[in-house]
Amino acid sequence: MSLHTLAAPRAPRAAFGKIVLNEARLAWRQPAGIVVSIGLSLLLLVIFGSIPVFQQTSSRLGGLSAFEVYIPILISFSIGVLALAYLPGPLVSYREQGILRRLSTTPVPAFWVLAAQFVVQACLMLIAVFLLIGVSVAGYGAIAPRNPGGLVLALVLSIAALFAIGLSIAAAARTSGAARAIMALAFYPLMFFSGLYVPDADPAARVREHQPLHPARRDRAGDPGLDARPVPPGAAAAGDGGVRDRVRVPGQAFLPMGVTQMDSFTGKLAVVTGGGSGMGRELVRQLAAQGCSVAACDWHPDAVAETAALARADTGSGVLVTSHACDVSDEAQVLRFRDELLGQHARDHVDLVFANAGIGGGNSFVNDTREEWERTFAVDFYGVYYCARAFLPLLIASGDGVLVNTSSVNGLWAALGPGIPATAYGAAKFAVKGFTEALIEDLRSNAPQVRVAVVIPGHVGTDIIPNTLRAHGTGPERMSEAELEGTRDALVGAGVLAEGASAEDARRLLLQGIKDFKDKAPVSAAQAATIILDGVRSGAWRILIGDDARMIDAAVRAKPEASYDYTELFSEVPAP
Amino acid sequence: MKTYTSAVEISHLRKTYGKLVAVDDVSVSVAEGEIFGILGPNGAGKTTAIECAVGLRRPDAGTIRLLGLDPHADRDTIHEIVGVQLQTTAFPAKLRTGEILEEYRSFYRRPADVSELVEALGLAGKLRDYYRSLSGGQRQRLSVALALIGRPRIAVLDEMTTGLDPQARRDTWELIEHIRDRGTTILLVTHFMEEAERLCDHVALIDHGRIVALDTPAGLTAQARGGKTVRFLPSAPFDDRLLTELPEVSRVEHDGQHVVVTGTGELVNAVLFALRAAGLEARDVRLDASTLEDAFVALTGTRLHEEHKEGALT
Repeated sequence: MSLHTLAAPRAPRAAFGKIVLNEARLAWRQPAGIVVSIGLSLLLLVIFGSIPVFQQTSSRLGGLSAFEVYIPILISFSIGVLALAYLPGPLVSYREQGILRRLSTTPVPAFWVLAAQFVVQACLMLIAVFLLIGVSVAGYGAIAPRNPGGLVLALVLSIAALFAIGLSIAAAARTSGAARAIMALAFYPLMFFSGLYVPDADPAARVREHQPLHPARRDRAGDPGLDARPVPPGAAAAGDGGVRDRVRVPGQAFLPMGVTQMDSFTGKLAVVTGGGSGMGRELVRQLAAQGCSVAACDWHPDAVAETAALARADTGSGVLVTSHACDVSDEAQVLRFRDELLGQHARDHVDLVFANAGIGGGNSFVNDTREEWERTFAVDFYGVYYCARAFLPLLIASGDGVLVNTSSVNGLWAALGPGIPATAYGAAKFAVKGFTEALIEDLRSNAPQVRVAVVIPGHVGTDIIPNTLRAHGTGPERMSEAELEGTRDALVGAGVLAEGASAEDARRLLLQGIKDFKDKAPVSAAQAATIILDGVRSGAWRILIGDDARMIDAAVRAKPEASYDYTELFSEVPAP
Repeated sequence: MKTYTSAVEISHLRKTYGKLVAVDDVSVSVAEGEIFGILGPNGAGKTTAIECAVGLRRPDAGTIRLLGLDPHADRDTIHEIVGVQLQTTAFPAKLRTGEILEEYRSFYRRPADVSELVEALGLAGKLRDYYRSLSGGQRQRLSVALALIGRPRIAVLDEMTTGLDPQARRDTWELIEHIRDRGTTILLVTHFMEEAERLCDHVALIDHGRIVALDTPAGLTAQARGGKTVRFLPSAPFDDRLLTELPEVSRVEHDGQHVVVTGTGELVNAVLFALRAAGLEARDVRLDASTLEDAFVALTGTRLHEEHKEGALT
């Protein structure tokens, strides 16, 4: 008989099926890997799904709930356990026990066992993925994956990457004991980088610091305050937090609802002063749209009533928006406002206070009246101060309170530009900033349930100019002839109006200026409100709004001595 | 057209591990259908030699042909026609005997009948048992079964009956003879003399990597000590010359009251006849044919079961 009849026989393909079958039996009979990778992930999923707060959607998570953000993390956890804890074990022990050596004397190549392991593990992974997604969608109402192609690609890449690590361990380890040791060493750092847990209160910052390519790094570049690039108007107005807000911070869902971050405003009660217009109005609307009840006050009752009506249009049930008349410079009115809102909201505490009300005026200590100066200072500083007095006990009672005081870029820099002093406004805004910063240490020591933030807006499109004029008794429409002529003279003197301009010219210019200040601002009031709410949620204490605010902040830090030498101050500041 | 002359042809095989020469100039020729034994103490190089033969190790020098095929160049064919039982093979603890057999059966294109094989090896009642619950002997028999499951043309069995009880050992021998009768060539590594004498057509004695003798078991025995021994207790003392004059007798010795006579041919008859003629009787007669073990001791100067402390590489 010729052996050529036996030439190049190949192992029957059915043999591969038999190997897969036996590997599957082994996986089933030694279920530690399956239990840990699939069972534990499912258990965590069920636990997270059962925590009500994890089900609340948050604009900070791009409109997802913490639970939903956790699903992919649990999927990678599941794959990681299989690839690292379970895959190397059998392969190393097959080598250790001589099974691979025995196989290499048969027609079947030893790598078929590797391939069979791959098939079994991949099936287990698919089961894990389907179970995790299925249970979260069917059982807990999570949104179904919206990009199946992306999901498949992510799964393939994750499996390939983790398999490569697992197989490298199997190749490097001489004994199964060594494989287990290496696996344990590799597993925990990998889970750390995947964002499963971070032993730190601010995981995003820590991950950004260590991982230059981490997606979270792209966001929130401004430090310590927040980035204030304008967002498309529709995004902010829609109340979803804007495009910039779609930040995924993987470990965040693991954090307790602590004092450093606020996941959501849902179900809370916020107080907003100056809610009749500008940033105050937008804060009320956006808070309400995010499920937060609001008590808004303003010196103009009609304006704040209109705000409340606008806000109610965007909200669902369970959110109460009330409007109150209150001049914050009068402590008695602030206390009445406090009592009124507690009654109407039937609460014994408040969670958030936005001391936002402010006006201009009293620019010149030399020329302007003492009454105007003191009225400006009273609204801008004492308004904040009385609110703190009135509401701090209620914030402490909340257990997780935030006091947000609005200062200004003029709290960093006490001028408005050449020929335009800001003595009352600057003094008040410096005072607000100083008061708020001093409260940081005070609260940390004496009332850790409450934190504070100071808002430093640059030019934001608000009605502060007409509000200021009205607050001091004159609207541009109702100026007397004498007042208008005084204004004309001032404007001519500042070189804004030409010589020989009439009083009517001055009124027109004033009205146009008021309109332009609001409409042509680099940051709209709605965008500013979004930035403020982002900052509050993230735990920032210093919230800068606008490139102008950041530029001035940088300039006065770089050259404090030149703060009021405008040419010098802004000479080397790079355009933001 | 037969392109080979013997089933296994090993010539001038040499394999070293560093400075240690495990196999040194070993040449062996095994005819088709015979059972060929490789004997030697631990560390003699037996296992290294057969691992080279089945392609698990690359020899440093020499050639190996199995049915005319090279273990490396023709490894696909070799794996199909050579069944191997290795000394140290384990299987996953949580697989059942039957599942392991079915898996290995699927590797071959013309596999053996599992039920016949397990019946002959006494594993029929163990098919549903997990590997981890099998005794050492049962594991050994499973390993033999897996070596034979592909209906190999050559079966290489390394210490196949180690750990088996006497009955299981005899059953396994019967199976091996049966397999051989169907035309399978068997290469048997063993250190059981009884096994080699019972099964092997030819035996190679290996010591320190070299072949010290190559013959049939009977030939080796004769080579070691030409003859047989009769041992008895005489009814009365007698003159040794009574026996030394017999042509069959070569030597007479005394062991206490016992007499030990060594010789050839019809030694027992000649001795007993001479004693009776002298009016003596022999009691407690024992006839000892010299054994392969004696041959081994004579040829290598070592006892087979002694542990070699040095170079225990098998």
